[in-house]
Amino acid sequence: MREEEISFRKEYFIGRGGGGELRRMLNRLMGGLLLVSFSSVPAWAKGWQRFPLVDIERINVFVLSVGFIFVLLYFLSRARKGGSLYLRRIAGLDAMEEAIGRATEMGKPIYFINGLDPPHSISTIAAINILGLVARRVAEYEAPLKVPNVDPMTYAVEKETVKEAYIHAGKADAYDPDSVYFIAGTQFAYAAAVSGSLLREKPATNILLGYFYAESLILAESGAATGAIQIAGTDAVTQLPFFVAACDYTLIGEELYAASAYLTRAPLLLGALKAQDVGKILSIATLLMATFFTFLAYAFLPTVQESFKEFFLNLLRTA
Amino acid sequence: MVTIAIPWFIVLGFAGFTVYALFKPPLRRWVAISIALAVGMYMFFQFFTTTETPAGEYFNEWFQRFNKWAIIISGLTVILAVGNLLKIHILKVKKLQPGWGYSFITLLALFTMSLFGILGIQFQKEGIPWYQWTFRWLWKTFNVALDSSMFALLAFFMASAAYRAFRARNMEASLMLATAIIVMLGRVPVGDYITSAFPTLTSWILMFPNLAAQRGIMMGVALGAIATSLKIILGIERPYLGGAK
Amino acid sequence: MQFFERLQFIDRRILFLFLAAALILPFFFPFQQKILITQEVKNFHRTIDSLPEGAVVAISFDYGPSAMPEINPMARAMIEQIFQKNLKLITYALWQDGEPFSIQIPEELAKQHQKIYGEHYVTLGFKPGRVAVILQMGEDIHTAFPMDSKGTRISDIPLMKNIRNYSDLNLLIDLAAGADPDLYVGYAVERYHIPFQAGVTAVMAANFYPYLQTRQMKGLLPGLKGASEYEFMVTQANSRQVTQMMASQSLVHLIMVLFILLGNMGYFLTKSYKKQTQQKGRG
Repeated sequence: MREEEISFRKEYFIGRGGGGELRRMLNRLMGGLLLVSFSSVPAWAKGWQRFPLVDIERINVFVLSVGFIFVLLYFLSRARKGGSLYLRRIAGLDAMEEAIGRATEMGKPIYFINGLDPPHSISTIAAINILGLVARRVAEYEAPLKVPNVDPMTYAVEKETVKEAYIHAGKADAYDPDSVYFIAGTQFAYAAAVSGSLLREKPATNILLGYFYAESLILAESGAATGAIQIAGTDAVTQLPFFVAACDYTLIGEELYAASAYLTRAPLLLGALKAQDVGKILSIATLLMATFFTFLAYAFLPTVQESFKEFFLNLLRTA
Repeated sequence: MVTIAIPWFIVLGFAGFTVYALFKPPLRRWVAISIALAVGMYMFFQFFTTTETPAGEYFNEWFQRFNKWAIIISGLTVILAVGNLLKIHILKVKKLQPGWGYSFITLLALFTMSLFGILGIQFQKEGIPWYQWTFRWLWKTFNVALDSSMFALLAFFMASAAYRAFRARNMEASLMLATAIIVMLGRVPVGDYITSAFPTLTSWILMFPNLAAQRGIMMGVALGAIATSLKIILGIERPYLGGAK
Repeated sequence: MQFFERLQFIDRRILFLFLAAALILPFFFPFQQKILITQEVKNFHRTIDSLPEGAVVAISFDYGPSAMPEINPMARAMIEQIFQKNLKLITYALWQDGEPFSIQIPEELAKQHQKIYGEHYVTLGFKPGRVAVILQMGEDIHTAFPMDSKGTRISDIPLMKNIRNYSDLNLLIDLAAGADPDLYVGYAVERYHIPFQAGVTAVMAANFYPYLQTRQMKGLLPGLKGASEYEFMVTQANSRQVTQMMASQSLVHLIMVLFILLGNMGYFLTKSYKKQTQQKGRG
């Protein structure tokens, strides 16, 4: 570090202080800590760019991601060894079985409606996972299943998924190749077609999972008007209220991702859920710490408050 | 050296997996999982590499290549999808199943729009052959009108859903009801005529309670997304092979 | 007492009828309402207002005809303000349905303000790929959009000659019906640090308030209400169209609140009636 930079930092972080003795002492202590701490990462790490491949600006994200992978691997190995993992009840997923049974009794179709996003979106992936499980159960009961699609790529993947599920259930003959079908590539053409067929066919059960946009309520209200049991789930925050208002059960945010673990109780998937919880606890702890220390800095250490803010922002910044 | 070796390492690793898979059925499963693992790991590390050094640039070439492949594959699936659409609706028309008229209109619209789309799109009518501006004309006359009316339906559906759902059954429902009414009135000038507190309260609700809840959900979603991605990269969850294990 | 019970289950077609009346009547009898300008709209206006003459603003048109009534007034007012302030304008679209708007609206307003294509404004047209385009524009706009909407190479356009990437733009605006502002915040603001703000549909608006607080968005126009406030700030009056639509919106909100209250009244009266009869039955 260059001489003038050190002296600048000293002045900037430690400052000249003011007010009472305690405040000055605290000021000096915290400022000194900051001087040697992370807040200066981007500055001193610039030299690291000598490494030919690594983008030093993202090293914090790398450390956090790798840390999370290790947590995940730890819980996976623990899950593999056995040992029960507690899972809270999710009403919407418990109702899935009943909803499929109801359709079988009534002899009416089950509609599985996934959102608009292509299959590389996490919500669509979660939806496809659940479709696999639903299709297997549907195959066992031999209830009719309908999966209308808006994205050609999702359509291709879901066709395979449903087919595999029927084969798995030992009901390959019962598989109808037209149960997964493509409607249109645009939002409202799709919404119009699906809500039309919901009103005409009056299905027993509608399952709406994935990432939805403005079409969510058009679909959910049409379904509600026909008296079907509706289970919805999305991580699209703006569409959640619509689903809550119009559907019987709603999976909120990450409950959608947890669904496959919940429904299969496969130990590996449960392990991943636990890892997620640890991640959540860590982020909450970081937030609380950041709030607490920033509050302290703003209350007692006016000279370092900006660098405090910088420090926490740098910690979580993705350049 | 190392950096040049990495993409090759991935390719060779993938090839190795494939050879391994040939000896170990079911083959398809292994090939798919190894592709997911190799490409997933590559994409993960790619995020942390720089483009400012020659080595980094070389490494990132593969990123662009993978992106292009994804675009090409997604283009090909359109053919699959349209094929399915044609099959279903042609069958319906042929067998004169109930609702075959709608199927006929779908097919007609599909062919007309595709035909004029391929012939070329132009804005003005002057000096341009009719088949070039017809696409725009069809778009403006049919697509705009139909699309807008579908979106407009939302107003009615929102009203009926709100009327049914907003009942002060318990404490939580009452809070939701009160919030809904405040925001609904605060978002239109009428609310301000009733009392100026409505717009102020609405802003406060949007900026604080709404924001806190949203951030909470967003963070949960982000962590869930990381976990799900890792599960797919590591082959624990295989949506591309027919759902979870 | 059946009447109270019926209040809870009014046929939705009756509700629809009232709504339709509330929506349509103001188009024949429009009334002007007081306009209270919210902070996010003030910030939006100020961000454009504080730009120096000759600064470059890029607008991304990411909506289709369905969001046209809400977002077109925003686009008009925005371009009006940009031309009034003698700023330079670049428009493009990440949704194929947004392309016609990204070309027609600037052209119409350019005629009124005597602006010249290629010098004061440029329309780049549509480009598929969303995230890929947003990222590529940060590296090089000339490879993201090699040609403008008319098929001219953009290196031959005087306005585009000195504009290579986001660092040469002074402000980026997204007019969106979907979640595209999320993408802009993630890939353009965080990566390339460009000032950014957005105009969005009311359905999506609540999604973007977090970015206002973190200053990742300078301002926000939420739905038709945002549009009417902003139009008022730019032109000192609302166009007839926006006045009509705002009047409709006010009436519809009122009707909805009334119906919700009716439903709740029915719910409580039925409940208390049942309680009374039960007590009587016991007594």
